[in-house]
Amino acid sequence: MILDIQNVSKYYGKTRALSEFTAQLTPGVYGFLGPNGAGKSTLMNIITDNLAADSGTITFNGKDTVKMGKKFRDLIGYMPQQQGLYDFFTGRRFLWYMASLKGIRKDVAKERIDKLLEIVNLKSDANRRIGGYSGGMKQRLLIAQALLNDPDILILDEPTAGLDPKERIRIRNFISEIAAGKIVILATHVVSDIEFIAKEVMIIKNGQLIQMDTIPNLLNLIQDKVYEVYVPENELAEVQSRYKVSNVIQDRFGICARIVSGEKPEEYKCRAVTPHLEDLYIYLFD
Amino acid sequence: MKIFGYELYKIAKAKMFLGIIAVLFAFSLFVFGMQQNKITGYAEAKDIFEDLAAEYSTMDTDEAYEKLKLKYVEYDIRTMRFRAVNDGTVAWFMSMYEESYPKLYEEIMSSEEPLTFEDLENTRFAYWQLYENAKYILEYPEYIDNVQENAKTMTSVSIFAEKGSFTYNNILKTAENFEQLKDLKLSFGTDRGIVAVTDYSIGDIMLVVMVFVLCIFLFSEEQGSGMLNLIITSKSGRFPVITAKILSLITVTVVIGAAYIGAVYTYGESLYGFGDTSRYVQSMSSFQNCGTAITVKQFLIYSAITKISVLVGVGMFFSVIFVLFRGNAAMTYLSSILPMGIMWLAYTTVPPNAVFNHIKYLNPFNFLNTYGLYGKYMNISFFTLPVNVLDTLPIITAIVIVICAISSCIVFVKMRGSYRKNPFSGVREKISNIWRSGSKSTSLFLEEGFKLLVQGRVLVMLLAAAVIGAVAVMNYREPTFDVDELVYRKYMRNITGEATEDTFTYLDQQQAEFDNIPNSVAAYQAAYEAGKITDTELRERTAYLEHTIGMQQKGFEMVQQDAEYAKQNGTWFTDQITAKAWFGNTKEDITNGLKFVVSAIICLSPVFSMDYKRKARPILLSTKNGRAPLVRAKLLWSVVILLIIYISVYLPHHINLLKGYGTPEWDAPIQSVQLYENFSGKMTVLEFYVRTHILRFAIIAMLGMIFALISVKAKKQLIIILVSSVIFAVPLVLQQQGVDLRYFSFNNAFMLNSSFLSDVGVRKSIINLAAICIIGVAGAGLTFDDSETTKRRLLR
Repeated sequence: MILDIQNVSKYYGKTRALSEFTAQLTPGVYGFLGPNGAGKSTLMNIITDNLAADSGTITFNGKDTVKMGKKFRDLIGYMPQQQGLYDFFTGRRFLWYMASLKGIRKDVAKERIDKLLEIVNLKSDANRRIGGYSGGMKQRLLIAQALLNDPDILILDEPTAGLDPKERIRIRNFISEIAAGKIVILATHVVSDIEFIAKEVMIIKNGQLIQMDTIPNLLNLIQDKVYEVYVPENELAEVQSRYKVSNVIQDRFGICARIVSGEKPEEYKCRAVTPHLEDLYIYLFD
Repeated sequence: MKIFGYELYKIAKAKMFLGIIAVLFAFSLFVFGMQQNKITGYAEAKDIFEDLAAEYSTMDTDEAYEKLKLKYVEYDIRTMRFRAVNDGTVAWFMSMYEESYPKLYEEIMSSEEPLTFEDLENTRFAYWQLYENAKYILEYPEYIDNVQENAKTMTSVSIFAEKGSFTYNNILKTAENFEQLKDLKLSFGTDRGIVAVTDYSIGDIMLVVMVFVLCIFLFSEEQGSGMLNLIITSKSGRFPVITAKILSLITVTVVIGAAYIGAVYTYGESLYGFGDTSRYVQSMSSFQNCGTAITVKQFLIYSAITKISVLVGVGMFFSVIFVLFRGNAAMTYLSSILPMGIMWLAYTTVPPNAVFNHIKYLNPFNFLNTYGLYGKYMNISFFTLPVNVLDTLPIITAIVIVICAISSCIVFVKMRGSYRKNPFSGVREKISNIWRSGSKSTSLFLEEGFKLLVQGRVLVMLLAAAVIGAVAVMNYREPTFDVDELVYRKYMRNITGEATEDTFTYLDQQQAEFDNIPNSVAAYQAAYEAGKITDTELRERTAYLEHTIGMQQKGFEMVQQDAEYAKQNGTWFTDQITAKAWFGNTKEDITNGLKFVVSAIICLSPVFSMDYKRKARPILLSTKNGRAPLVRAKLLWSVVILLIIYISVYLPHHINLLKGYGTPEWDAPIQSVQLYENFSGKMTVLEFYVRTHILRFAIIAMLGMIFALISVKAKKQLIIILVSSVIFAVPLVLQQQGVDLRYFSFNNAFMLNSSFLSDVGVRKSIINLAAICIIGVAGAGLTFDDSETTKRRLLR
């Protein structure tokens, strides 16, 4: 099972949203990392054929996804960034509605809806109006609908936005569980969401894929470049202007800044630390 | 002030708003022009009239009158000399002129005519206008004297003489007001342009529509885009925002109103001219009843100010509705349109002297018709005190503006959450629960139906339409027939059917009976004289013949006319009164069309827009059946909804027809209905009836497809409602006002009965309906294309 994205470009007027994007995806979780406006949602909408690419092709197992049309859409599960829900539906009714849109048989739909409501922890609220749901509940319902047709390709745009830490972990683990045999594309700028579950991370900047690799390989890029330094309070601003600072905390020794830098900040008392994906993010995007 | 500036900026940058206003502007001016084209003579004679008016204004009115009379006669004779060549009817008038003005007549007839017929006709028309104007000016003081005289006479007549009553007070006040006008110095000038620009009801309606559009963009845009929550939670998001919006509403209304009125004035002035604007409006017969001494210039200025003030008042009323029902397009639409509709009905249907004529006169549409407001003196009763309607204008307008502005502010400031539940939400919830407990399905058609009918509130709207239909049946008043019609219908009940020899024989016998009445009366007289019957018997029998039988003669004549028609056309006897009620009531057809269109607009507006509103398009489009199958389900539901509305509108109408008139002769050929004398299609009345209904519904289904296209292009429910109202409802309103647009709009779908009266109408209808079908099919195609095309711009 291969989803092949070849030289996909997209412009909005003169603004470049995506440029010559090329990637081959096989089953597993792909973390799609990039700042706002990098082109993540644009690519997702192109993959789902909600948006036409200006150039390039996307094929699934060698077949053009646009030409596959309905057959391709039957293979995907999409959770958009916007919470496009009908407030007046109940959670359960919404899933039945989505089942009809996905062309699922009644008996299969019933079984899957019950199961998914349990997985996303909405069973007790299934008969409440969506209008009364919290943001997190709406997110979970959207994930449930994306999984309703047991898709081969699962596209999740900011799936954990608005979730509390417990829910976030729960959903993250769930995605990891169901990923077997599926291509899961998970766009986020919450790096911890993909740090533990992504097979590979695609890093996109200004519409271009600048890195695509496994997390250990990506972290190798900043090996020995992450330091923790203690700085006087009055010099913090200067440090922030000179270095890429991924974190600042105040502890009993003073202000500790986590710096990502090619050069060791000799002027301060510092120590090298193990890099995280967040450090890479700052290194690439700051 | 900054927020106010931003509100104006938002309006100025709203291309859709500017586009709609421009279209309404152009459309309204186009209709104004079309209406003026129907009035011949005035525009063509404008220049000549103005020159003559200037010339005769320098003379004493008596002298001018005498001279104008002679000039008019002269030009009338000269024009007739031309017309006499082709028109034999003028000979009589020529002979009258010859007799009354022998010298002038002789002079004209013996000389060569230097002018063309067109110039002659225009000059004659200009002289006629001036002559009538002079005659009126001379008679005006007498008219004022008569008002005073009448007041004295009427207050002395017992029924009006009750002191303290409204009638009594009104007579005195009228006399007092008109007394002041006695010494007005009147002068020549045409009234055509002044009346045309101030008595243009379609323009008034268009102005109200423009203000409604403005309110959509001022009050609904932020709701739709989700900005409202952000706004109302900011420091200056409440009172400063609503005051800025109200100020913007006033400012833009004033600008639109001034620009529109300015355009209409310019158009009217260029067509007819306003004449000397310093003359009193009482100089023109159209303003004879004007009770205020104002010049033409003042009238035009006051008229513009009045219209703009009333529009601001109407805008303020809309603002309350928009703030109150924010986020609920259907309720906003209903709550705005319904009171306006009621006001319009009251304005057009309440008799002037009705006890509750207040609703007619203290009405925005009456205030907008400034010609009627200023030109027609009218007092209404205020606890028996006569109050001039014109005097109430500033008070009522000010009260409405202030109360509505305060109400909008209070509602907006007290707003909790940007969404407001509507009164039906409880009912909807209950219906929703009932449905929820039922079995679920994965049929896209049924699920989409659930979404539309129950959650999209369409079911409530359809139920409302059905209830209105049921009320129409319950409140139906059976038609009243006069004696002749009753007699006609009595005969028709006996003879309706194929015209046979027996029928004609029967009618001949009946005719003989009528013809024999004088002989029978004479025979009774003879019998009485011979002592065979008593005086009482004579009177009874004679009365029976002359009254009971005689009274039926006229009704029978109607039957005989039908017989003549049946003989000539070799067709059936059909009750023409019933047939006319079923097929010949064009006004009712338009009204039904309007009811249908308004209901359809309200019910169909959520079909596509709810997906956009809920930002659900990306998720829908990425599913297997979320494109063409979903559009198919939506279009099918649109047709089902249209069918239900069709039944809700036409079934009560037909039940009422059955109650009032019974059925027409279904088996008769359609030509037996005299209305369809010139219709060449061979079919029975029933076939015609069924086919027109099938055709109408097929066309309506096409309208549904066009509506779908409007929906996917406009996306927002209020815009959909507005655009479709302009396309489907406004032409029907204009049709009702007498502007025949049937072949250039979608009106024909509702007027098939009258369009098929002749083969010419059939041919035009075929072209019109074919065009609608093509647009409908294209609409459906483009709607499918919108969901399938890969050129979507979901993120933009």
